[in-house]
Amino acid sequence: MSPAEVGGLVILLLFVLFGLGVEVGFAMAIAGGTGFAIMVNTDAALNMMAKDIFSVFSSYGFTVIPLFVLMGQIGAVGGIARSLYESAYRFLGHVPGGLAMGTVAAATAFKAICGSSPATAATFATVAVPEMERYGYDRRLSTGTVATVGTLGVLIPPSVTLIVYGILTETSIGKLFLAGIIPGLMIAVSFALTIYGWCRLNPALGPAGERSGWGARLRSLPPIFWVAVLFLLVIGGLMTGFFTPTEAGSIGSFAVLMLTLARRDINARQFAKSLLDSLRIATMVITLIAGATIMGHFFVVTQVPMRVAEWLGSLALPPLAVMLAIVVVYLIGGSFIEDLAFMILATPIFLPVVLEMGYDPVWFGVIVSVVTMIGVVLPPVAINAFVVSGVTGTPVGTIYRGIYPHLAGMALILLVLLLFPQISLWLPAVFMP
Amino acid sequence: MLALVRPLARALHWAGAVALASMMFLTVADVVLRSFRQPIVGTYELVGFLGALAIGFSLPQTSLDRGQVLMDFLARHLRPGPGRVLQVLTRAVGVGLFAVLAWNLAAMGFDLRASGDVTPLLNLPLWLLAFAIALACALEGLVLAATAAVRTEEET
Repeated sequence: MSPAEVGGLVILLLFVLFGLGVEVGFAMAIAGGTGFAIMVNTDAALNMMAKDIFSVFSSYGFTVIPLFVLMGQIGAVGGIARSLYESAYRFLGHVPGGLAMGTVAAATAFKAICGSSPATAATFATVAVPEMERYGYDRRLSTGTVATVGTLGVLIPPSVTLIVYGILTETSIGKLFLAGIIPGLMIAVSFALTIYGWCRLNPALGPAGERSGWGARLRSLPPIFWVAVLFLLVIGGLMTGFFTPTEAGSIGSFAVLMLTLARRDINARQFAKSLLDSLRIATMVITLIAGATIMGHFFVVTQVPMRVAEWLGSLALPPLAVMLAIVVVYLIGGSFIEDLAFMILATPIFLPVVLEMGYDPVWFGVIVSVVTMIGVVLPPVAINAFVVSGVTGTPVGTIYRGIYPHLAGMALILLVLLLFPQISLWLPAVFMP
Repeated sequence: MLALVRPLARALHWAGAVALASMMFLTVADVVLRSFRQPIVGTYELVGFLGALAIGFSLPQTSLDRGQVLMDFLARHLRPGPGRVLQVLTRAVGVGLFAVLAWNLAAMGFDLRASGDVTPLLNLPLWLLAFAIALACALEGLVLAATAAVRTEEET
């Protein structure tokens, strides 16, 4: 059999295993190992699989993942999200739809310390939905907003998606973090504008709450100040090269722990819970990476990514058309497999194509993240909708109806970012030339 | 069997949590002491070592908690009987994978012990790590086997 035929069969096997319900990370390891055994030999394949698991699990570079997840988990159990929401509520609560816009503002600030999308959705589902309920907000608006704002963590640093992309493609995590800031803020603004426009059209969706005095507003500001300090400490340390990404994650986790301890918002049991929860999430992500690493070794012997790049090059399509096709593949793939898993699977295949067309890998990281953001709330595998449904007891269909208006803004910004790479690349060019 | 593997998985998960907390405190101490030109020698190696233990040891509990990513469209649309058969089949595939990984990681551990490979600064024996990950993979295989015939809601 030719390498291309083996490549095709192994990809078929992979999708059969996915379809049967084998864990995605395990399926990649099995399919990659099987393909490697066919192409080389069984002993070499078994040896390669054990070495890949060993090297991925024991890699210093991958320790960044549990540490940044820990930072967000401590922030989540330590009540930082609630304080940020309280502050945003003081400023925006009196505007129609203001509590939903406040959720966007608080989640944007919270994302500066928490990189996990479902964790943010779950946290704000607990904090913000009951408050919106109290003021008679329509469930579509409240739950749809909470599910959607969770996606901001995919792009706003310290994003786990950007960290994993950086590790997979050997791209600077500091540059990726900087590149995610402006697009992340643009999307946050689009969420707020969508809510504003929706509530203008139908004021019954989000009635105005009480207006807070300036005294109450100013008293609610300290949490925002501390989150800004933490963000500057972590991102600044990374940018100046004072910290490695792993050190930045450790310092960030430690600083959030100290902050929550000082506020007496965390105890030993909650700290232990955040450690155990972080490990569950990090193990899921690193298992996916280990599976993708095994799959990647199979791709090297069959040269599947190179053949995809050659094939796309032979079509003589404009680069933007190729990029749109890649985006569609990510969207379709991410609609059936969990989005981070599909990103880990597909990126090694498409990155050579993107580089061949002369695009910057940092920019591609941002595009992949925005596509992942859309995928996280796009049916049928919209994890955030399931999380919010689980926490609030709202039917998933109602949550989807609240998500759809936000998708238009996200798609528009994706198009703008595709057409104008300099929006993403400006901050890395200024601060990390 | 589930009654046997559940406490083992939980104990390893807690050991992983201790490793993760140690990574954080060790790295912070190193960064602080580095500012005073007194870095902790070998932090890089220790953190990599602890990271492997943290992730490897959390593997069985993550599976017990259904924390791995999978597509369950088919399983959700099947009647209980065929659904159970599918679950046994998918778990058997996972058991096979982790049996192979545990065996080969243990073989790798024996090779590393024979060659005396250690980390460059602290001389930490790499065979120990290979055996630790092999142990975690073996337990992961047992977890998958133990949960093969158990209904999803009974697992956690």
